[in-house]
Amino acid sequence: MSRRLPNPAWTLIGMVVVLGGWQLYAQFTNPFLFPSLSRVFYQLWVYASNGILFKAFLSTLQLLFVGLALGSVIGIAVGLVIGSNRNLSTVFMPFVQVAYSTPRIALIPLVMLWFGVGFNAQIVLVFLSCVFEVITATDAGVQQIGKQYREVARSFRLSRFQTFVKVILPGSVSYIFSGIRLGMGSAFVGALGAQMFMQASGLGSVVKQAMQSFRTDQVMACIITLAVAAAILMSVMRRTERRIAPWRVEAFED
Amino acid sequence: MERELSAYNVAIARAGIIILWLAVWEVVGRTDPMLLSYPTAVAGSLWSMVASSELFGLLRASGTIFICGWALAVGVGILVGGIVGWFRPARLMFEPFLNALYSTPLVALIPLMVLWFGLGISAMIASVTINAIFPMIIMTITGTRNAGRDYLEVARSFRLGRLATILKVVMPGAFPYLLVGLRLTTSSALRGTIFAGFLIPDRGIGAALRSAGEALNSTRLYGLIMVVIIAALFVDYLLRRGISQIDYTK
Repeated sequence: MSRRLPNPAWTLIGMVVVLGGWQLYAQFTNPFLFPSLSRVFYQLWVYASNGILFKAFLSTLQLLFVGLALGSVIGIAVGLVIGSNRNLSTVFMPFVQVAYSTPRIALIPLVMLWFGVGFNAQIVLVFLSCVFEVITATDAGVQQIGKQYREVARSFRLSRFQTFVKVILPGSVSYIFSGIRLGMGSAFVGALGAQMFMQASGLGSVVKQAMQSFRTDQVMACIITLAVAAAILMSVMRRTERRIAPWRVEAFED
Repeated sequence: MERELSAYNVAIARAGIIILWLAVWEVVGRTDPMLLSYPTAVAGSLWSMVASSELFGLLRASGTIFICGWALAVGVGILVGGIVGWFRPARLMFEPFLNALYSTPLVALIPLMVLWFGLGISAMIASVTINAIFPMIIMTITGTRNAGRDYLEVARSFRLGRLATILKVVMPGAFPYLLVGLRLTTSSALRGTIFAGFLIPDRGIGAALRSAGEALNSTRLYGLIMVVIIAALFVDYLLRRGISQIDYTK
């Protein structure tokens, strides 16, 4: 390794290669199938100026956040209850694991049958998409708290509530947060699925409409929006996580 | 401290929960069979699906798509991740893009796959792959990066060749990360298979679920969801077994 370019230089080269390669490749293919970068950005501009994308984006975010908030609150509560008792955890967690490994997207027809296609039904789907992630992580977080900590709490005659606030919650918070982050990824998928297949709304329906009118440039504009949104959300989550539980980053599997 | 239940009692408790749940469903379900259905009806519907070998057809169609898409995602993912993780310039150049795509909900790309490949099996396989490949790439990159560090210098001191270094140092070091990637990829691939089936009318489970829902046939719908759950558990089981077979770091 004699000549080492500094890191930012490589990153810049990477940008040029990927984006330039995209633009160049698009010149030689069918523009309807593979739109050039400039076309996609033009489409982004059109979307931005007529407000469609912004409205759709807000609607998707709203669905995501309501569903994720519900999933987190209930998931943490259930996880804490199950995790606080060994036997409860051994008996019940396999059921949670089954739900966890099932693709929740498959429940769309069922949710539609039960709750219809409106916003509330969509929230149910997003909730189901993330709640088991949170339960699993919370349970794991409570389980891994060392026995000695509970014993110390008992020596100091901490009440149940005090033990919970001073020992259990701080001990498991990093796990809980990783669970919420994991759940957010899957809730995002659930939100898009809900908006594509239930009542058409938000980014999901914009993408679907783009497909139905054969507009690859519109699909790609949506993807870029989603990628940026996901990147921002994830980095906010990571930052919060680091702030709340700086001693342990990446506790749960990434 | 609470007394720990014996394995026998745990099994009884679990079985009790399942039996209780089925019993309640059976009784409550009969009051509104249109919406809730009930276990015996669902079992009957499942049995007729087995008997008419319809279920076999569904599983074969979805299974083919899942396996092809999954295999592509794993193979290409490890290759790309290995290259990007191993060469510093490649990593600096492409990792930001790969990271961005990793956290993007790529089900939104399935419509693009439809436009590129048409409404057919290739679009479905592409959908599964595109949904599942990024966890594999990212975990392989992380693995190859973390593998080296300390051991690479040892390998150099022992004058290990390039191939031997990769086989004996990098691969074992990256292995745990690859396993995490494999698990994430598998669950994303399952999700992609179902999702693509909703969008692309095929002979698989996704499309069957959708049409059962549209026909308001709750009995069939519950049966199909059972199938999805069992299939997901089976894949999970196979993955665990496979991993325990190949895990040479243990």
